[in-house]
Amino acid sequence: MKGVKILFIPLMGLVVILIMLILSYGTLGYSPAEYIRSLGEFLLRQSFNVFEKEWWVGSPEVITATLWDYRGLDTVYETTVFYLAVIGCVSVFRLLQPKLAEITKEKEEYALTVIVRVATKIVLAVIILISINIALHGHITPGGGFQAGSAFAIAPLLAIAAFSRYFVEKMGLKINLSHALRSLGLIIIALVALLPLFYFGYLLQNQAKPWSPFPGYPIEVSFLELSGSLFHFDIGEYLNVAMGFLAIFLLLSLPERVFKKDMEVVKSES
Amino acid sequence: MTSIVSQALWIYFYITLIGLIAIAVYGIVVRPNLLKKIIALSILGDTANTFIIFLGFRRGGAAVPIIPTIKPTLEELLWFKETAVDPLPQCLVITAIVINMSVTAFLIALAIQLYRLYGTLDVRKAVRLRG
Amino acid sequence: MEIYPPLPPIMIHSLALAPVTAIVSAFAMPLIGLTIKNRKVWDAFALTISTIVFILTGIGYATVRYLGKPFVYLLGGWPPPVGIVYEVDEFAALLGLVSAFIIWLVVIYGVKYFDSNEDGMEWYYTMLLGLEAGVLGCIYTGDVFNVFVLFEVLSITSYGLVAFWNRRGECIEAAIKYSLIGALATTIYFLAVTFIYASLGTLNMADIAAKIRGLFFPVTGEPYGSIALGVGLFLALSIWAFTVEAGVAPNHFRVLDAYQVSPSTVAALLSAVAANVGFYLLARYLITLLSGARAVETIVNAGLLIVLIMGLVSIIVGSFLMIVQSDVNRILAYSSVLNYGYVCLAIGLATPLGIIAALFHMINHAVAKTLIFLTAGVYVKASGTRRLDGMEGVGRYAPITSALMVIAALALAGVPPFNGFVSKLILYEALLEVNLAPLVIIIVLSSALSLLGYLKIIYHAYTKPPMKDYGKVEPPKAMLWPMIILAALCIILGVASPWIYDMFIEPAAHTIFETDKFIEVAYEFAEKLLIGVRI
Repeated sequence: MKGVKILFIPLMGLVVILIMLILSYGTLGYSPAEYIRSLGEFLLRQSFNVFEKEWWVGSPEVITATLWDYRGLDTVYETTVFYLAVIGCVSVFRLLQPKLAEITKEKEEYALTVIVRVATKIVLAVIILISINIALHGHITPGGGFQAGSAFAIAPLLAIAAFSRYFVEKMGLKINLSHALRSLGLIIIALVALLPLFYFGYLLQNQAKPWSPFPGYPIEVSFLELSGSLFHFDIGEYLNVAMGFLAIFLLLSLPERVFKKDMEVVKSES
Repeated sequence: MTSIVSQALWIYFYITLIGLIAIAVYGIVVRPNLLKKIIALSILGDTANTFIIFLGFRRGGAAVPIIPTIKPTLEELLWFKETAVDPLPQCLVITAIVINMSVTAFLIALAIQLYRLYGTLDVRKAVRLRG
Repeated sequence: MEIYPPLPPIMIHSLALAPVTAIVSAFAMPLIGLTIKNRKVWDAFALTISTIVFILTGIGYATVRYLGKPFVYLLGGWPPPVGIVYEVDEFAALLGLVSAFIIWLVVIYGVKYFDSNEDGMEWYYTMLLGLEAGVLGCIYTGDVFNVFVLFEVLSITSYGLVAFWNRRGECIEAAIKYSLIGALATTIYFLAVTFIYASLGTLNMADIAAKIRGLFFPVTGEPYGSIALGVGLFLALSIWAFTVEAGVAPNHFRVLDAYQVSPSTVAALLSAVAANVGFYLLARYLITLLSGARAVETIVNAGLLIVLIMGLVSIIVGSFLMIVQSDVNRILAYSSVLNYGYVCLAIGLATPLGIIAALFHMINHAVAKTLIFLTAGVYVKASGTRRLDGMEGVGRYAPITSALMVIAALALAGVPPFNGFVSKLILYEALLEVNLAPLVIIIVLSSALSLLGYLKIIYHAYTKPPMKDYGKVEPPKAMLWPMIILAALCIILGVASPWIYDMFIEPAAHTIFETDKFIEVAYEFAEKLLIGVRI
């Protein structure tokens, strides 16, 4: 087997040189180019173009517009990939006796210094506020549901590292809450995607089009700039990603002794 | 003169990316430690993302694809269209980042469970323990 | 503005609703699992949803046949080059219908297969519904990046399902191997999509097919640089990714362990339904999109040759290694690799008869392989072990199941009048048509070897005297009826094959070659709806 591995390195070197030659002189010409692909130019021009309303999205953030409107189906399914990965983690870490995972006390002698604890509390509050801002402004400034959820995910991670898993659960962030809120976020996404069907429009449709009877989601509600369905999608996505990460971190931080006690029961049964 | 130098620098950039892909594939296939395989997979995903962003770049004047005014006129839109980078690769990359992260999280969960059951992260030893 | 012919709305939206229904119910499943702790409610929910999806795929198939040309569904209301479209021709609709049918039967079987106190069933059903959504979405879509995303949905649910029995070390280890190689393959496919966007500037399948032939869609305009090299890289990387998914040699190693240790329902689903997606995408990319175009002809022929050689290697590896195994699920895993070799060989020929053989064999293999995995699952459950020398004589306690296993074995080995024989006969004709007679001899030999493998199972399970009292082995009706339906299908597809060939298989396989209609249907939407757009 060692012989094959040694052969691997010069083989990969050959592949690298070949691909480098092909790319530099064959496929793409001089890269990067001075122009971008015309599909990209179409998206840049039309996504906030009030003068040509058949192809507009109503959002100045072209990338969120592309994510949730022009290529909305990709994003809905990418949400489900993340959701199913969390379900997979829950399934891999499941215990025969779920009661073992409820830890009711923490040990005082393992606490970190007071500087760490106070600073972490301040930083946690700031993180949560910033993540909500990123989520709600996802259709105007860089941001959106995924980005905000990933920013939120740092908060329970910091809390588990600086305090303990019990501290996070005492704040109310238990794993059942994460399942419930995550399903709520996903149901928001599903409803917003399916609503146009009731008007005989198309799935995932955002604004009105001449060839579809759906009137479109509202762009502005008094002074708030909403960009149609993008706002609702961002909120649902934020709930999904934030709660998904919370579930993963709560599962990863279960101590080893819980698992060992669970396996004792399994071994005594078999 | 500058165009040859800048073309050479861009080619160097290509070589780095392709070399990273080769290293990552070597890491996944050859190294026996499970954590190293997962790290190599992560490197592969990030390199592919960088590659496609690079292909959507605009040489000579790149602007962020976000319209800075809330009520743009048509001239502002045309100027924006001429200077901003391609938004479609960035959208593909957001999707790819989330997907790669989900798979990495699941693989880490599997690695931890394997360690709990077999006591080792070396895939050769795990195969021997299975029998 | 009316852009569809006057059809009832359910027919227009059914194809898009099928994967979406599955995924929305997968979203709702943990909520039901947390609030209602009754296993029967979960079973009923999963059964209802899979029945609804099966009916929707049936309506979709009827719509496509009624229209006579590929059906295009605009998602989000955007016309083809700008947004994602579903473009379903008859091949895809038939494959989706067969997949939904098999998933429905496996869900019925799974209700009683798992013990009533098995933990984690709510996660099992969630991942099962996710698998269904991934398979249907991958088959129906008309956009290459959407294939990547749905491929990931399919993959991640299959990783979770293989690791379902999370306290067994062998399951976790098989899941790790399965997941790592699968994740590598899908990331390689993402690189492939990069090249196609860089050189052609579009992500829509009909648009790619059009640009290679010199017809330009509005908005996306002309290609950039040299098409041949960009398409060549795209093709090479996607063949790698799809053959890993489909499980053909030399990418078959991950599949063997996964089918061996996972629950029988999961092994049946992955073997019969998930692998077909890889073959469908290979046929779609190699034949509909890229063949017949002068610019990329040499590259496509090289790709077809590679696929053919991989099929041949799979046949040899599968048949020879099948007979030396001592674990019943591993014998069936090698048998799957063998049958994937047949389908790969048929696709590599790229003639009309070849694609008919491939489609028919995909359907026959799905039906017969599911049946044999389900009957082997009955034996494994009753005797408590997968080893052949641990289940001697268990078949005598369950005569109906043993009869069904014999039917499945004969169907897979290609004995007339069962369905395996018909698809292999068409494959022989396709090979003789292109003067590849030695391959016919290899296929016949491999069929004989595989029959030896199945007979080995039946010998140990039925003919040998029982080594202990197994108790009640004959499964309850919920497990028995799906197997009886599958066995009946094996017989019907074999006996009534001329009628089925003319009515269903031949028109469906023919649509793979109709690239002109594929492009034209999407181009109509692009032309009509993007009038007056300025880039």
